[in-house]
Amino acid sequence: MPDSIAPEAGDEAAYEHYFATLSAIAALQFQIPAADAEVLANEVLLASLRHRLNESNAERWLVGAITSAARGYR
Amino acid sequence: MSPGLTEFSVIARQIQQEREVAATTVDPLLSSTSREQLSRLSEHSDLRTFGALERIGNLVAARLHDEPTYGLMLAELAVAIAERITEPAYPAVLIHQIRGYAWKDFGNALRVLARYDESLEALRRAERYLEDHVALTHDLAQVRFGLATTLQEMQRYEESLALYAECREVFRRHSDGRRVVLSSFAEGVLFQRLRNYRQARETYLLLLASHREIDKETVAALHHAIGSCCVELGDYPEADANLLRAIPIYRELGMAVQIQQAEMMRGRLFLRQGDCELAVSHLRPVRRQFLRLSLIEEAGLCGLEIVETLLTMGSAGRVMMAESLARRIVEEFTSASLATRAITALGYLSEAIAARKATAALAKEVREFVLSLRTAPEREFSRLTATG
Repeated sequence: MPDSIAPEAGDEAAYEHYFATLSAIAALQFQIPAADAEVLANEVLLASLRHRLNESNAERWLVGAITSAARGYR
Repeated sequence: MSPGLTEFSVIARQIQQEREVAATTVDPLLSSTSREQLSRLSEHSDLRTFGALERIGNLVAARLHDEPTYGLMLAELAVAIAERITEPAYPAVLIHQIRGYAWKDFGNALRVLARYDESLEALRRAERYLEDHVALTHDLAQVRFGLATTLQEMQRYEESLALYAECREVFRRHSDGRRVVLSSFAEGVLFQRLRNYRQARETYLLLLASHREIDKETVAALHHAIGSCCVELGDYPEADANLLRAIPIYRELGMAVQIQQAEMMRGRLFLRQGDCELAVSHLRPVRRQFLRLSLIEEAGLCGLEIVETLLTMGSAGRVMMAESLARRIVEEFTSASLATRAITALGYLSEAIAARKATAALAKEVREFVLSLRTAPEREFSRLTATG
């Protein structure tokens, strides 16, 4: 993932980019069904708005968040 | 196009706009409202947004330590507003996040005011909101960090330690270095409070050596804490070296109170080393500085260090000085309307000195009692080492 974008302020390119990556992590690494993986990725991105991520921390934070979410998924 | 893109874009822009509006509307609205009328603002449409609640949350954090009662009122207002926000204003995950933060701030404010049972209840409520969404794990860890602190105040130390460790792991997973440091620091403080100075010092040292990005204030606080542990462990050269590392950083950051607190610890170090004259001459200007800063309680605690030292010296002249100082501290506490329990304990010490029945251990016990009232204001003074 490039580290030059953060999913803030309705940045659609950033959203698309992270959505694809986070869904893939949830689905491939944690064997979560694709539809549910997409729901998780979307929720993580929505939740991230509170945290005002920036270019330097967005990727690491989001990967941590999807990993935590996938672990908690039942 | 991803299925959630439109929703995300709309919400992200909305929140950005709300933040911009909140930056100019929330503060004037709150400051123009009397405290008695504050709760009525829960109906105000300008405050019923994610951005406004976030701003109120920041204000709670900013005011909590200087004006805890006002901080609590703001937190209570935020809870009332958050509970009124429902779908479709925001997606469910954000509504749970909004409510979780409002209850977290409320719980933390209650803790600062030593209302621990209510704090626990509020933080549990925050927990329940956030547990509903696995995407909110980082937010949940922030609530549990507060919970760990409240549990610590309730002397539920094992639960507190376990929660700090759990939070640290979540923060680490999210690469939230600042909160990883805070969690480790909190563990160290807990060990120190349990008088497990060796383990506390090890925790602090590991943190300093962790190569994490630690801000200057925390570096200073770590050296200060290590120095304090070393005093208790009898490792005096290391104690002085660490305190002397903390002080210039505090000075650089303009942290006048912390400078004096570190100097007060150096005074205790001189006493422990047996250099009573140096301890007294060092502590007197520190006490004066606290008084100059209108920090009556800190000045009193520093004065009690001096009383302890004078009683250790033991000559008739020194004991008379101790008696006079102890009486002055009682007067200062009384004029400043400080805790009645503290005044009672100080009065007891004064009388014991006047009757020539006081020991340095009693002065130390009274100091520790006064200090403990900060976290356990309902505690009663028990005359454990009193003689006669």
